[in-house]
Amino acid sequence: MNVIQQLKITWQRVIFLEKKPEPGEVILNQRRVFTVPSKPGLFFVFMLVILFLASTNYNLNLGFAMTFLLAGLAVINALFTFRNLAYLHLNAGVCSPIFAGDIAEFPIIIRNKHRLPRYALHVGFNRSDSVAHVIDINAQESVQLRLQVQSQQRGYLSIPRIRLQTGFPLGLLRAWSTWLPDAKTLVYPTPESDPPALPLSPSDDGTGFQNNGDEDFAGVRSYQSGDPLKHLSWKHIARVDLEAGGSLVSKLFSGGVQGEVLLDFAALNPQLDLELRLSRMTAWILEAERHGLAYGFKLDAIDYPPALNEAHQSACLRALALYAQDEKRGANGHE
Amino acid sequence: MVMNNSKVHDTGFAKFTLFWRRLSREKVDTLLLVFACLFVVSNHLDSTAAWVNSSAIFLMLWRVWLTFSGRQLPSRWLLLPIAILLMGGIFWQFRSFLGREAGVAMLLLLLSCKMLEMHAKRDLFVVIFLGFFLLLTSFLESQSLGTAFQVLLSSFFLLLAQLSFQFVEKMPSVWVRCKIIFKMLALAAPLTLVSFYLFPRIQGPLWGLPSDAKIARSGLSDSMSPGNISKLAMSDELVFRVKFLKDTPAKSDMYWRAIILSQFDGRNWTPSPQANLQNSIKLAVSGPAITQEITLEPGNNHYLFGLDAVAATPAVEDLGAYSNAVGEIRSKLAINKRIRYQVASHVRYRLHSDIDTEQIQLNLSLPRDTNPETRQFAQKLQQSYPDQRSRIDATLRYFREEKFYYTLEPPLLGRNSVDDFLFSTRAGFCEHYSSAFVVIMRAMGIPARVVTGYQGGLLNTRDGYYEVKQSDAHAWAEVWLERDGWVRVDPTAAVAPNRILKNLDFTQKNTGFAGVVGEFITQNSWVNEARMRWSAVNNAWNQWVLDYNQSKQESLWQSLGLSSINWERTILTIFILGIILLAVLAAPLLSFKTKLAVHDRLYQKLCKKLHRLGLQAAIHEPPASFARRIASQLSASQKIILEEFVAIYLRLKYGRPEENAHEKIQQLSMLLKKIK
Repeated sequence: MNVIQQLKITWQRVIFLEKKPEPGEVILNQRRVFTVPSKPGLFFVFMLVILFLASTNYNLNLGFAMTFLLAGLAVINALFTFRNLAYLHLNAGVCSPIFAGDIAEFPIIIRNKHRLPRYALHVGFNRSDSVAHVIDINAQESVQLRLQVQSQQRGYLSIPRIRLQTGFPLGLLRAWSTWLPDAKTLVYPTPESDPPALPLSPSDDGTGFQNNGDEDFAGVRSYQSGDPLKHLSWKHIARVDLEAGGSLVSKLFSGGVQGEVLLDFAALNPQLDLELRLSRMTAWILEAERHGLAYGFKLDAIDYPPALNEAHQSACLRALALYAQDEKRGANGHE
Repeated sequence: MVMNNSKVHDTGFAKFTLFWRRLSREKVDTLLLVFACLFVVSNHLDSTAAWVNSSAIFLMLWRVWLTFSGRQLPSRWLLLPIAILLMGGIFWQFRSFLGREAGVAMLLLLLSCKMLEMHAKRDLFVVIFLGFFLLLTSFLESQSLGTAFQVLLSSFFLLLAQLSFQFVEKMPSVWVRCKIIFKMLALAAPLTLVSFYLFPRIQGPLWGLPSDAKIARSGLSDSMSPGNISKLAMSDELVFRVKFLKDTPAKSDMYWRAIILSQFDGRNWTPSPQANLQNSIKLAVSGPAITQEITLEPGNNHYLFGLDAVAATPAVEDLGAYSNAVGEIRSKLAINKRIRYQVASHVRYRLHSDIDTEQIQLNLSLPRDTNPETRQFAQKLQQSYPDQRSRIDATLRYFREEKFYYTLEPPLLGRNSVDDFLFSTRAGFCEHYSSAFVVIMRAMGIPARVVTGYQGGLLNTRDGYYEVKQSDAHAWAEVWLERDGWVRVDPTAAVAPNRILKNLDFTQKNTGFAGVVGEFITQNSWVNEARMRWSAVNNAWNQWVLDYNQSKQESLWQSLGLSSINWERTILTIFILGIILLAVLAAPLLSFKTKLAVHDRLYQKLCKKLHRLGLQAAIHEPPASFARRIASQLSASQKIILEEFVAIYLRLKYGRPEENAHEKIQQLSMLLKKIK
């Protein structure tokens, strides 16, 4: 990191107060709202100088009056622009967990407790590529909007810094304020799109994936890494032309309900990619929920007894989302 | 199912109307902008060439049509040739792109072309800022109250358009938007006022003015031929305003001398070559001085005025006023702005009681072989009367007793213009009379000359200023008599004494409808009253707004205890004044205190009272639990009062709105008083 970047960060900390996430309600007070001329504003100042020079040169007293009136308007406009943004009450709502790759929607509530209606507020993230929502808030009303963030990976996803900006009423100035709410959402691993069959609880001999329901042959599907070898459907494979891009085929059994599902992370082939294994666990949890099967869950030290309910599901997914995340926690955040 | 269906239709319809509204809103914004720009163009209708105005209006109407019909803006390949054609037109007319008129015309066309090439928000600002600049240029033509109002109105529409384009989702009604602009203008007004009077000015011009910055205005010219002054008689334009500080002279003494014409070629009167010499005049005066304050309109000439005869050359700031050899007052620099000066005059005077023979010869010379009948007539008079005075009287009597008419539309005169006038047409204006009179005098051997200037003036009863207009232009004669010097003789007075005692309006007998209307306007008292009022307002406008300049600013600073030499202090004071003013303006705008309801305020008071007793409510503590917690520390009666208070308070705050809320609040404050 070079010196200029360091200076920029310090500048943003000291002048624009861009610091740590703020929990709870935030009020945009005087110190938090910044106002600078926009491009048209600078152009306007240039025009005022020209008007002043023309008035001086041609000795136009009304020209002076008009120049000063416009300059006075610019000053009043600054107050109006500030007033359009200041003293809004900001709250961030709770964003329900999502799967990696989905879009997180953070609810933001902006409350205008005053008798002044606010117009044309641009609310977006403090990034150049962010598309801002434009909202108007009537007097003593509030507006809720959902800011969307594309999730990339599992773990916690913190909301990026939000920027509120306005040029109202004359567009000559840009008043803005930034806000980093203490809001984050849990991102579960992406469920594997076509996972192997659900593993049932280990039999007495402890060989692992013994499928009690293999009598109920349900069909075939293409082989997924991790499918037991004895499930390969050799009859089908014999007919497949591997050269032409065909793949191995596994037999699929609609498992009997008599066995309990045990989702044990350690039982998965350790040679598989960690993320893939987590994805598969996620997919299995969803599948078990879909089929109404109670499932046990084992992930390193975590060992949840078989159950089938919302809380159990969230606990399992949460464990998967945060697995081995402690040391790189917040890596997903933007701050 | 049916319900469902109708719902779907509803939302579909709502979406459609929303779409339509949003589309049409952009159109409305654009139309508003075009309207504002048309207003800007209307300020230039008088001063700019007709083809420029009509092209600008045509282009804007094109834009209106495109907006209405929802068509696309014209492509660059269509617009570019049009723009080049228009620029070519400007060059063809003005032979330049520089200079004031060419510049204004160009900006006007640029603005209208830009309207057809508006694609981004940036273009909107370009159009609006160009509009503001064009509004400023309309002050080059006129700075009257009317122009100021028109420009203010146009600025209002430009600002309204600028504001309207800032809304994105919700668009308040036009009235609400107007109110926002009104409010902003009202708040900006005090800032404008302070900066107008206090912001340091630099005396212009900063660079050489283009030659066309000075437009020749109507007024007296420095030669007189028949028709010169009668042309002015129709002009209502103001020449100057006079305020007599002490004594007001009689109307018949109100002669404002401008130009002395001594050379005659048979038709034209021109000044004597001596007029260019700077010299002091020889003037002997008697009687009290009449001090006047004159506010002279810019005429782009060099004439300064004072009541005849001016005792001392007035001091006029940096114009270089001087008196010349024949007794005219002149400025070295052309008068391009309104000036105000004081001058002292004496109605009784003797001017140049001794002049040299060269002067006498000059004022006796007549062109040879012209006006033979007049010469004969003069010789007859000379023989009939013994002395000069009686000869002059006889001539005036001739004018009075023969059938001479005073008219603005005299018949044309031939080569011997004075002969024709005196003996055949006998109808003319002051220039004819003065010219004929001087010729007769010279033919009799009396040195004489023509003087042009203004005579009279109309008292504005509103503000006590006399207004002298171009229609007061007049020509009279001066004859030189030994011992008395140059003596004023006004032959027009012999024919139309009203012209001298009253104003020109009374001598004019208009015919037809215009005459009737004119008669109505001049005779009707309330019209006159209104006219005077309006003129007084205009005068105040001139005195307080248009005449304000750097030197007045300096005297204003000095009266505030600041001097222009002490720049640091001056600027600091202005800065501090500005900050204070801004704070006063900003305070109500930026106060965001929410008003507490009455019962909340009473509860706060209660908490404060209890706090003084050492009982503090925690921030998170609701009133009821607070009361319960501290109950044990209060006496039994106090406890009951507190419980009652809290019960009423909670009912007011969270309960249903009650009809007797007012009584409840009174009850609360009663209870509050009881808590000790």
